[in-house]
Amino acid sequence: MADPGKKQDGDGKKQDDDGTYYISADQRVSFTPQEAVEKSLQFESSSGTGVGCNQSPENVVTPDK
Amino acid sequence: MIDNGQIKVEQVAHEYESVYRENNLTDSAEDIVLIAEEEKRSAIERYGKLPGPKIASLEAYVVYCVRKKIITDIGEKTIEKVSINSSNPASSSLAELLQSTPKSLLENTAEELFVKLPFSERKKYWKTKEPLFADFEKKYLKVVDSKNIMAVKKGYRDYVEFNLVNDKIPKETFQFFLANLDKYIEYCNEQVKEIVVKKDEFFSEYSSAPCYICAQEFLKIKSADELLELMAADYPVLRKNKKKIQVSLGDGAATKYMTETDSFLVTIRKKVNSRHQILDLIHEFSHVILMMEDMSKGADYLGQGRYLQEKNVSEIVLRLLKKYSPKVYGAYLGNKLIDLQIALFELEVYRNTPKKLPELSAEIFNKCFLGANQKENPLYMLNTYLLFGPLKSLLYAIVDVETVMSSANKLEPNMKGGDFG
Repeated sequence: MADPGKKQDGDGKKQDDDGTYYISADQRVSFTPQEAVEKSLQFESSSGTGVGCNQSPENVVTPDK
Repeated sequence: MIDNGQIKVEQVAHEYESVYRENNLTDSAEDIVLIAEEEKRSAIERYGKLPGPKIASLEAYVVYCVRKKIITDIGEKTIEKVSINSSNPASSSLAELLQSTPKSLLENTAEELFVKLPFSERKKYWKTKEPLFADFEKKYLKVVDSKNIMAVKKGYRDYVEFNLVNDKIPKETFQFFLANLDKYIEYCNEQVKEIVVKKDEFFSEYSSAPCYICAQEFLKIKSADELLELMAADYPVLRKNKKKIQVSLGDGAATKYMTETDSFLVTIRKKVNSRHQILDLIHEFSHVILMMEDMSKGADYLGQGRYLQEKNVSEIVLRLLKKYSPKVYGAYLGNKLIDLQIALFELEVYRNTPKKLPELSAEIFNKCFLGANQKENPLYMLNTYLLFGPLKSLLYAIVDVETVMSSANKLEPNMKGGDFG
């Protein structure tokens, strides 16, 4: 899929979660003030709203199985 | 927005007056217009230096930059550090919760449970960890109360209404969502009835989330480039501007228009398997298509609001998935029930909350996934989005119900209007 050699963490999040968070006027929580502003300007997908699917690639059902 | 060849940004600036007022910012209407006019001048200068061919028209570019500048200004003036000593209850209540249950505890427990341990060992593991979450519900409800109080102070009924207005969701659309939930749930469940899953495990509270996408064959697409070419058959604008799209990996999926380069940065989740990365990409490339098409015609894309943006994206995604594979389309709708479940849980918590939350979580899960029989689900706590992106699912659930029902041609004849909820 996406080239891992390219820039990581395009959403501007700092790499280490040190327990410092920032809250915006609309109550969204971010790791940096910059990220909080960025969130207002990008279009997210719904795919990050739950605990989500944790299936590893080898566990998905393929036509060969 | 254009008058006698002049791009007018005054009207855009005035749209944000109420936001400045709501947040007790002292800037006057003239101050905001000043910010807009100054940014307009800079944007026109920057636009002239962008390499051609450009995606955005001058008008669309300038208005986008002006909105970005104002949103950034509001952000910089209102963002605050989450602290237990803050005078803002939304900040202090969240800090209190994160002190007893830090994000790392939530994430590590979820990873251990749902990724590392086999299903048979998960219940036992959770029982050893459960005492660490003893205060969660009480403190979470305090966070919820603080957000509702903040919203009321700003003139809204509650935090739900605050979000509906912020995302520009029409009242009648929210009413339609509430009125058509049962039909939507029935329709989505129908789509996955042929997918073979171990129901006991699939619907258990010790399963991370039922994933129909991973339970059957998927699209044979190997790369972002291959997907882009496939989507370009229907939306040639993607291929035309291929060099202006960068794809990267991150914690969430998102699309951002880069005003510095007149290009797009698409981010997809790094921690999910390639199927979900493909679905992330279909969604995000759809945003790119719409922005390219709209901004080339001079449209005020940010001004549309999130509801319209996501609705238009959802229509593209549904149409393409149906075309690429009816089976994958069905599985995708089955997975949509996960968003709905979270949205309904939060809606209930922010508006009613008479029940214990583990019971509420199980009840809503059973309502969404027909055949499920959970009694109580304390693992709702492990969804960090309850704290970090509150009510984020609601917008998507509202859009899904509208677009899926429309796509299935099962629209209710009468869409009622009226107040929110």
